[in-house]
Amino acid sequence: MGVRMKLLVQFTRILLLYFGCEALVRLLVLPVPGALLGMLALTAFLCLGIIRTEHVEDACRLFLRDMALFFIPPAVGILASFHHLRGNVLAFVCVVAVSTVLVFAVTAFVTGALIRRAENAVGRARR
Amino acid sequence: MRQTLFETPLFGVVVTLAAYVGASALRSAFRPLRALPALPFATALVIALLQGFSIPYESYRLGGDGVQFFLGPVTVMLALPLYHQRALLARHRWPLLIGAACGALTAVVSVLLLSRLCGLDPVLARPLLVKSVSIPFGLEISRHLGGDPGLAVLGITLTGILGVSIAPWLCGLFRVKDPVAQGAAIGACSHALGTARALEMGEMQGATSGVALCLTGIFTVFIAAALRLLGWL
Repeated sequence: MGVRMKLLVQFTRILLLYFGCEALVRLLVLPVPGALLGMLALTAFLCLGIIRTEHVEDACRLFLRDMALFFIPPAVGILASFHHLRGNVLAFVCVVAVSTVLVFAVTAFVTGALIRRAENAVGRARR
Repeated sequence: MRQTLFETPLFGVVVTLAAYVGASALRSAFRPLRALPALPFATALVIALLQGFSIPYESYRLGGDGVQFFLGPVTVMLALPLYHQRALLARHRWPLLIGAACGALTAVVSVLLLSRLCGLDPVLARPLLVKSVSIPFGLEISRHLGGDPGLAVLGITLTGILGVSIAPWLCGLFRVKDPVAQGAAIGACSHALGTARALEMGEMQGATSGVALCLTGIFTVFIAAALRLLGWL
């Protein structure tokens, strides 16, 4: 297998794993999307050494670098759903904006505070 | 002629790629544009083109759906930064878990309260409950909750674009300096879109954002199920 095929093989490997996860989600009626299970499964396989980084690395880098590209179609979809909002545009955007800032602030605060606490505890134990 | 040209998947694919490449080129050519992420910029280009030539959204969608399909595989590929940063993530597992749980809860509660406060129609408010999770997640949860999937995607995308645009500014405003806390907050509030941005800030931020996106999604599934059981939805 030449270098030429490498990307294609890696991408196929990832799609096969994704497909398997979608099948599992449907079979067991799991409440999580197949892509998420795929992410967890691939992480687990990498950790367990069942799949090595060089088996997927190049394809991942290629796609992750320009990940924003794949969000353009749903973003353009705003065009199609916007008329549903009618007179509620301001309220809708307001709820989205305020809630987004709140989620950011709460998560950053909680995570940051817990990390600092853990690090202080480690520091005190060393002293 | 016009009809057959626009009603092929080629049109949507070509427009999407050209808008992305164009937006990226403009960003690197003009310094002031660099603060703006590529996505809202590229989206505006596509919308302007469709509106300008009065091309229906359905024609764009033929190819757009093809590009959107890759959201699935790309979500799976987020495993790579996760794996690379595994030691760091394992060390901070509790702050990340608890932070994401608080983030998911804040998202759902704030949407419930704010939509009542702003007098938003419940039909429109319900799809917003999933606005902080990634599109594959949002569609899955909304299917269970029975909200309009189009509106769910609209809420998710608006949240994502907003989060991506103001995240670096919010980091400064709330003085969030720890890269793990930065990544967690970005992933929790603006899902995979934010994760794309967090990856640009650094692999550490990208990996924590990926974990946060994952955890927030899982917690939101449970919170939504619990609310439904309690009869609040």
